[in-house]
Amino acid sequence: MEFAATLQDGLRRDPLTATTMAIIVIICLVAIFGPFVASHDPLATNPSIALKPPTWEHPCGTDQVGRDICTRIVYATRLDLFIALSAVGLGLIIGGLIGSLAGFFGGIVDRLAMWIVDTIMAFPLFVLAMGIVAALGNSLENIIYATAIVNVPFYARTMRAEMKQRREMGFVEAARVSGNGPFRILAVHLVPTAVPQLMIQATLTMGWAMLNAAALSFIGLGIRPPTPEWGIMVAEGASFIITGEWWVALFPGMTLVLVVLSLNLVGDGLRDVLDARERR
Amino acid sequence: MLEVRNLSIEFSTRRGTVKALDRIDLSIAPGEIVGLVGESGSGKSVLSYAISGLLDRSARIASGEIRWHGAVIEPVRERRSTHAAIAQIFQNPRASLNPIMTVRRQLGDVAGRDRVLSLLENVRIDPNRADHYPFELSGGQCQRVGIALALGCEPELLIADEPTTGLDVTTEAAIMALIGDLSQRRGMATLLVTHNLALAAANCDRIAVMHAGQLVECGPAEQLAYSPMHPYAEQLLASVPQHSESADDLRTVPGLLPDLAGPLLPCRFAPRCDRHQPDCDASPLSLIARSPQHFVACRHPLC
Amino acid sequence: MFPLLRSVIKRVAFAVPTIFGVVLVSFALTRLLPGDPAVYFAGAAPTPEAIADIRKAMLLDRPLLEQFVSYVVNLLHGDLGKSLITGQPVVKDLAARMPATLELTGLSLLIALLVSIPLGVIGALRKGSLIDHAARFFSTTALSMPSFFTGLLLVFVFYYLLGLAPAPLGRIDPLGLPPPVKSGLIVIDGFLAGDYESVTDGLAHLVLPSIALALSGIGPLTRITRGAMLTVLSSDFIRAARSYDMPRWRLVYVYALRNAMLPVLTTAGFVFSFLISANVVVEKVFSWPGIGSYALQALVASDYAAVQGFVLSVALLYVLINILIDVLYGIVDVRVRLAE
Repeated sequence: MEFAATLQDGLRRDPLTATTMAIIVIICLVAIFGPFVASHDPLATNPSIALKPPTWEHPCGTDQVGRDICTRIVYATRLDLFIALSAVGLGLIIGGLIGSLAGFFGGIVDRLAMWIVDTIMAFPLFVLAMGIVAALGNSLENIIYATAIVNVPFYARTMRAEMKQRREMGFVEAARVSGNGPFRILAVHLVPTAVPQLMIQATLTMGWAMLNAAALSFIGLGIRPPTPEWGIMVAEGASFIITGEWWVALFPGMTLVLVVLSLNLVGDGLRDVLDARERR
Repeated sequence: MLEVRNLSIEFSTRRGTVKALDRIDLSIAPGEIVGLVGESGSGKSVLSYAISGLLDRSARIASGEIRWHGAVIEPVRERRSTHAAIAQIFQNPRASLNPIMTVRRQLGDVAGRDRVLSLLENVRIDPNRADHYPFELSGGQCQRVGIALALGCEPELLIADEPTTGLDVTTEAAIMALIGDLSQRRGMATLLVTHNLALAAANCDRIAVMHAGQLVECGPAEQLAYSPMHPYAEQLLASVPQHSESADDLRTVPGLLPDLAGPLLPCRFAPRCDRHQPDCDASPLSLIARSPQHFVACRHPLC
Repeated sequence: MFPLLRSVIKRVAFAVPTIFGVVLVSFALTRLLPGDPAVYFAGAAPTPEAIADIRKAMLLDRPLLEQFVSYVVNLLHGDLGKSLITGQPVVKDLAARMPATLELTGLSLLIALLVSIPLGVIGALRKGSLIDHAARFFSTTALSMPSFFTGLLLVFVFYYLLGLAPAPLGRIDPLGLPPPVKSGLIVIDGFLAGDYESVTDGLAHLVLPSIALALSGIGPLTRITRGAMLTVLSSDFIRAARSYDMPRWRLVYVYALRNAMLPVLTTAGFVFSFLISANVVVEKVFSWPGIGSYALQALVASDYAAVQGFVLSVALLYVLINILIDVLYGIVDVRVRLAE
């Protein structure tokens, strides 16, 4: 709870982080409730109003088959957030596990874990994700798996560093002396203390996970049209950029940038708050 | 040559204003070796940085001034309008050298390429070492290079900030002998900043003792080391190993330094002092001359 | 030169476990294909004979270990299989398209460094100032922009609205004649052939895609430069150097910056991996005929040998770049070289 208090204090001093946090909350609300209030059907085509610029009726214009872009963005928000959250969540579990075992036990476990992490990092990560989706097949789950795997190194390294640092502290020894097994020490005494650091890492990588997933669908992997998804929508709008129908790609693209930028600013803000706490 | 008059310096930090120096008076004459002694946190480093012009931009002069040959100089070197030939050598000699440049390159940058070898000769380093990097030299050699760099600036005043911390006793003696010899030959004044009163007593003409940002006593080295007047100087002396018979006898100065960001008593040593009297907290006190050379800032001195 | 060679050999030796891991992963990726990999590798409308041939060629009826050994042996012979679309060996296809990719990635890394280092240095020197906040916000924004979207925005503004840039359709005007291939880099080949029209045309086509790519590298590079400069500027040896009355330019640009470049160099390797990733989508946006768009064509056609060949060769390229950076690090910082 000390962390919550620091956080509150930090946010009061840092209006930018507070604002971006508010943006993220709004976007989450849109993702959850948006589809219920959206005025149009995201998949309903209407060739008679194809490629119309923004109007009051269609605030973000319509696409090449007359679908309302605004509605599609709202539905896409839900899907993209779902992908990013599941990928980061899955990555956190795998990476946290690898990192905590490596940091706690050291020795051969550590060497093996670091070899796995280094091997993943030896690939340009988006290219590896591409290879994984290409191999596993084109589906939503596989996009999530691929994005989770390429995020694993970051969480594993953070967790390992935290474990290594905390293992040396007295309270682990105290827990050991009072008869706790290593896994109990790890689960009850060590892992919880690393949660704030891991959460910051998760916020910082969440935006990247989103970019990654959107880029995968932009190049035609994973989610297929006509499903509304930011990457696909930008890809569909790409050819109209040259002919001047800018709204088709611009609005979904801007939404993606806004969300990722907010996540990155919040991550930075959280890190500053935590760093300030550790400096004291 | 150097005169510090009534100098108070403050730093603005998140925790409030830290009153790092409080009305310091100190002067140094050419050729003189002066010791500046105190615990860590006593303000001796702030004072030495103010003189050599290495203070942070966040430092603010609250009162007083520093004069160099009569002209006022800023505590931030980049703002100085008159050039003051003041050079400094540092504690942690290895970290004070650029890790990725050879000794020759660094000396050349400071003093010109043609003076590199003669400077190395001055500090008694084998010229063959010129093309070595700091990590290839011993701590003592690094400090000699540091001295050579400082000498390269042709200083009239050398500030030696804990120059022998972290060096072994033999090296310490050699470095101190080198500094003493150089000041004598060049007529260079030296300000030796140290926590070790015995080291200062053995090497200096005069000693100034600082506590919590205040100058508490200033006098000839021998007088101060054998008959200190300020209770803090006495306790500091008792904490030096040479003066005690056994480990049990070895004392540290009791109590903690006051928080310089909080409210402070006129005598900042009062809370730690065993001679404390009610009148100590009455009004600001300043250095009182007990003899023409010896000053103390205490209402109830030891002698 | 001899110690340098030794350090190179040592770096390569250190990279062996990683290279082994990379090869293992890419082998696994070719065998992970759901169902029968031979069917996938045979392409869109395979005949039973073709499938049987591929099964034999891939040793799919043999134990996994033997399959892996033969995969490695093939790799050592530079054999990544044949592409279905072009009918050529994948290695040959990749080699032909590599210069286009390297040209784009190299230029964008250069742009990213030229923008980030000054921004980071200014940010550190004027910490907390308006320009520092602006630089930080700019670098965070750059980090938050997907390069496919940045690329499209640039095309919209500079091609559609302003008409300053050529159409995003490859490396050179479709009607123009490329200079004879020597280095594979159009700008350099143009100079060699004295064909200055190709030089300017090639540059004009390079500008937008390389800016779009560079933006994705500016975020991390600016941050690291700023952080490293701040650390170095507050270090003991800079304070000491201040006391020696050194001119400010020497203090900042020789003493501080050179030391701060060490972490920047390490990050540049990571940024290269960023860029080579973003390269895939940028090549798609600008129809750039590099290995990225080759991989995308292969993806669409389910040409798996080509896709996995691309993944492996890009990973090996990245390993190579990291070795190069380690060697460079040793040159800048003698402590590392002499410690060996």
